[in-house]
Amino acid sequence: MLSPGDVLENRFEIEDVIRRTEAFTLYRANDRDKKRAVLLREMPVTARERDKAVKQFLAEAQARMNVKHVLLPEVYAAFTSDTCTS
Amino acid sequence: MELVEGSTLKEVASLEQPDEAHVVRWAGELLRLIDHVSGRSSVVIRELRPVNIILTDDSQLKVMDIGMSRLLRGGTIPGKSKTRPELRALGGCLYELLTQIPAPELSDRPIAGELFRRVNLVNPDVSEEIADAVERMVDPLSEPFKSSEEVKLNLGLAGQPIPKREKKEKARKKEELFDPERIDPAEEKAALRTLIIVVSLVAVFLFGIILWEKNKHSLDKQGPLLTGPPAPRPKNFKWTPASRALKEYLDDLGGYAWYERTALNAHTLISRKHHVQAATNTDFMKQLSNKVIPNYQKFYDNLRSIVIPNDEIRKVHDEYVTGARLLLTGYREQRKALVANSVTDLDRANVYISQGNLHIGLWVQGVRNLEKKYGVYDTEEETTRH
Repeated sequence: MLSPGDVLENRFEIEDVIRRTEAFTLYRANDRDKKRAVLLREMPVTARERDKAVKQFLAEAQARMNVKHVLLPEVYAAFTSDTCTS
Repeated sequence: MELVEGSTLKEVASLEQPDEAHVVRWAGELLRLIDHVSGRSSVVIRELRPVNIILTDDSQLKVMDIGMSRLLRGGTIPGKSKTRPELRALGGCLYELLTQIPAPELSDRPIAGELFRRVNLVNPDVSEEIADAVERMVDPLSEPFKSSEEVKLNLGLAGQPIPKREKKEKARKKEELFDPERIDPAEEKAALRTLIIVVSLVAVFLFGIILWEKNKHSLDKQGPLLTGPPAPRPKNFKWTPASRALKEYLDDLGGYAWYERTALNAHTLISRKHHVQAATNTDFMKQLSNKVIPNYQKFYDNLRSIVIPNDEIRKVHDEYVTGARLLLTGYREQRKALVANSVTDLDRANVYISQGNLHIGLWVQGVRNLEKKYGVYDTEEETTRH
């Protein structure tokens, strides 16, 4: 779980928790590179399922980034970290 | 991802049950998204839930999570349902929006499925046609839709115009075509010709707006109610039942003028601000909900309550009542159109308002004719004019 002030990828600084569910947590974060507010979704996985889940997550995130539509918020980045999968 | 601020459709629906027309309009937008996604990638939308769809402050939908799933080789998708998963997801979303309860988790095997309750058994305001369409999307025992076009047809969305913001996107793409690096000399001439036509149309359009504004301002100055200096009373004037009735009628109206003036001033103010984009749709809606509609409703109710003994005056008064009813309807339709972010509906609302103003103009003319006929006014005896 992330806390305000945590920085991911040396770029996204957590500002606040917006919503927490069983499957994911949404944070409001500051994109230091682009100087804009962004939404960051953390999807925690257990160590046992990590490899499979991370692979699936990154594949889906990549596919999602390729889909652009006025009804879909733009996805700027997808990455994993030791403490979280975002 | 992009930060989106607003309320989820679940929150919006929990505050006030959205009517069928709104839900169908949202369905139209979601269907366009479905078409876009399924037409351009190897992924499908598996989840469309009101809790994951945000209605932004400028009334735009944003789908935060589409529960995306990749197509298996051969173009099939996991699961046994004959209904396309994205249409099933849409059906579930519509079910929840129309009933305020989540769509039942229905299995393909009836014995394992939860009992399906038709949408209009839960919400009687929903029409049979829409209830049928939602049922076909959600209930695996129903005949499934084969395409989103079929869904559009059944929701009454076939042939609906593209929302303004999508038009803007298309226009932006068209603009790219005018990039000189992309156009060969032969096309350049055609592009130039098109540009001239577009510029001419814009000029005509702007000229039209200027004329309209000019007329609007002159209408505003005139107002729907009587203005201008009162006509002098004839020297040999004598009160008659008809002239007294007209005076009393105008006095009665004066008692209710405050409501009308407050509503019209608020509407004019916000319309102009909105026109120059100094106000958001939310400001416009707040003003309509808090000032324009409540005050005009009170004015309209009072207008209808006036008892007039004189047939001629009553006939003229009926024009006012009709005009006020149309204006009130127009304001309400404007609010609905803003909620739905529908340009078509906004145009329809403006037609109501224009028609209302026409009837009120007839009333103004009618009262002036009666004043002349009865010779009611003089400068000593104050007769309320608004």
